[in-house]
Amino acid sequence: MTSRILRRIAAAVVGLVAVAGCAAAPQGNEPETISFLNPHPGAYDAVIAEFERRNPDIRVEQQSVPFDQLVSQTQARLASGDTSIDVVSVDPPRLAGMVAQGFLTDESAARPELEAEVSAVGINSVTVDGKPRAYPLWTSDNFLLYNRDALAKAGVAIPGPKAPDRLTWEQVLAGAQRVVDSGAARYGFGIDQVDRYYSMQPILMSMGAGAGLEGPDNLAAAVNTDAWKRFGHWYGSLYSEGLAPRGVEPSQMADLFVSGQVAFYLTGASSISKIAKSGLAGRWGIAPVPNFQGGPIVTPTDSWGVGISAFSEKQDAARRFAQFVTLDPAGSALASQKLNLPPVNKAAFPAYLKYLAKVAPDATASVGDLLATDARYAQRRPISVGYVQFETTMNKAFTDIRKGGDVNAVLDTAQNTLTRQLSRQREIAGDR
Amino acid sequence: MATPLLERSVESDAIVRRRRRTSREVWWWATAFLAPAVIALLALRILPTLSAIGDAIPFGTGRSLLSNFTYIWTDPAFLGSLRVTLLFSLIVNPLQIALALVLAVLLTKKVPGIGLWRTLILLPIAVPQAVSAIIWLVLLRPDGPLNAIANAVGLPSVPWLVSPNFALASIVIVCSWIGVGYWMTFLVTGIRDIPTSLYEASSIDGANAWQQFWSITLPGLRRPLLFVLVADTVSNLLVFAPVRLLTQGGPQGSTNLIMHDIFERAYTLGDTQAASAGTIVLVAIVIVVVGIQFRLLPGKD
Repeated sequence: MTSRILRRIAAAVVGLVAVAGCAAAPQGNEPETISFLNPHPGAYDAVIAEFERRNPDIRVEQQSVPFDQLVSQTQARLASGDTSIDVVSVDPPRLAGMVAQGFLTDESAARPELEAEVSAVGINSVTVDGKPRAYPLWTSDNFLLYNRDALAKAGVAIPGPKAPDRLTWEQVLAGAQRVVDSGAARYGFGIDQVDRYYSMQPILMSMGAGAGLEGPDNLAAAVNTDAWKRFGHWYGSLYSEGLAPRGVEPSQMADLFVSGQVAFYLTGASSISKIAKSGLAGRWGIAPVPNFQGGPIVTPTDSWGVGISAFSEKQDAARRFAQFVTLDPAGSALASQKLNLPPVNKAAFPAYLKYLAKVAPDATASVGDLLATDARYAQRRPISVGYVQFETTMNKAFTDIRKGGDVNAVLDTAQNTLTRQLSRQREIAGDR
Repeated sequence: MATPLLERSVESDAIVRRRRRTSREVWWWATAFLAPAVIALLALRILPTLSAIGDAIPFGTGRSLLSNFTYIWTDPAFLGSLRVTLLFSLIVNPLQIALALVLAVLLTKKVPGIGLWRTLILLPIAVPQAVSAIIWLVLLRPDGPLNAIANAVGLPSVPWLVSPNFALASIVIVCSWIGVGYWMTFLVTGIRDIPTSLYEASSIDGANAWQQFWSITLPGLRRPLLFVLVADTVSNLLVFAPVRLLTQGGPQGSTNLIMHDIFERAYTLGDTQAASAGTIVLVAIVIVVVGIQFRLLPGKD
């Protein structure tokens, strides 16, 4: 083969590429495609189908990644100015950090619609420095689920479903111990989001501990106080005494409960569908999240919202989709079905309760009242540009404690790590 | 018959032209074949390296140009990850190479069911690292199958992933399960290249299997062994997926290998400057270690 032949081949390749390029060029009447990065596979299928039906000029392409990978994906892609993400799921406590890095658009123009359609709690959850930086979708709460057969077999009283029936942690753990001692279930107690600050904060604060971040802008760590260490010993003992399963990851916890191996299970509404469709159907119930005897009732709040990437080149289409999912009652109701998380859209909330009643009529009969009551005790996670550092460090500390680490040493190390990381956060923030 | 001067001159001009054309063609072909590799090298290696250096040195921010390096060198988490990586390398590399060598020697002998053994040993190579890690996550759970077997034969449960004393050992086991078969294939090829006449002659001289291994197999494997040593060391310095999926660097930092530490800084904490500084330190370590290995081991015949 000579260089002339090679040049001909090169010319042919260029020609083919050009032809392929022409073939792939978008036509004028083709829908505009926006991408939606989220950690909830399947949760948005129905709402996207309905949005595309109503908006034939827009197509929504989902990029669903596992929950644990969303932060790294968002950080890696948006920090490099990636324009291939248009809409992104936003965890409210991480919003301040995302805004500080310039990842999200300012949605102040939509404030009137937000105030008309969404609860004040929802608007608060996406507001940074007085400006809405995303659209709120869901709120959250935790419940104490129980395995009716295991409790009955161990002679433990079935908890009531209403707010006044709320048990104390002391009562729950005593019951859990009886279940384990009687052999009615392998474990007395389990936590769905094990080791995650979201689940730990209400327990910590009911025990009298602070949220863990304090001072101006919540940029000072306070995680090795006496109350935090008291919590650490309580949490560690759940696992060292065999009441709860050591070494099981959050993704595997629900399976333990539905297979009948866990008697009491602290979880959110997102577990309801899965449990209602499992072999445990009809043999489980929902009770209010417990508090410590003499301690305050504290419940979690805030859930995911949807934000528009500041680097998106299709922000108008992205905004239409984000607003349909959150501000439109029909969109919001559809988006709240698969995961069963309560919508913050005021008009969609009754539809959500009706849907729950269809999925698990007996178990969820009091959920609406419980959500309304618990909202009074809701504690937001600390709002701070250092929240990612805080949550990452504390989740690891909780894991270390669960795995048998020395509580005082683990929390002292976490305090030092956080002090250093938050100071570093202030240092590099000066570059922006 | 002598060639006339004019004809010779015309002929040599033609040779010179042909040589020039040949030389141009060689250059053209060399460029055409090398271009993809050079472009890939530039895009995938050189540019990211320059970008990492740019990230690690905070030009125009008012901070010291070495501030990110100072930060990681005084950070207990980063220093801890260096210690863990050093310990891990000291255990995993000799272990994997020794196992690969033993298996390679065994699989080049006449062992019954050799095909089956080879398939079983090579199987982990075909499984993606992430899938292998998930399989081991289930196997190593406190209430998982491995402990169930241990309990069934009267042994106590082992806190594989939950104790700082066992977690690094668990990562060593998983990485070895994934890697040993792979490194073994290079050594099997090396053993097959050793002339069988050497073994036959030594048998006639009365050498036993052990003497043959030391005097024939090992010296004959010098080159593939050097390759396996260097490549295995580099690959183990860059271990990431098993740590991410099995332990996330814990418990208590006991498995926080340097790659995981860098990943966490960049993609979880959003501190790309410190991550880039860490990457440069890692690359420097890899270069130094590989350089030492090349110098220490005889690579020439």
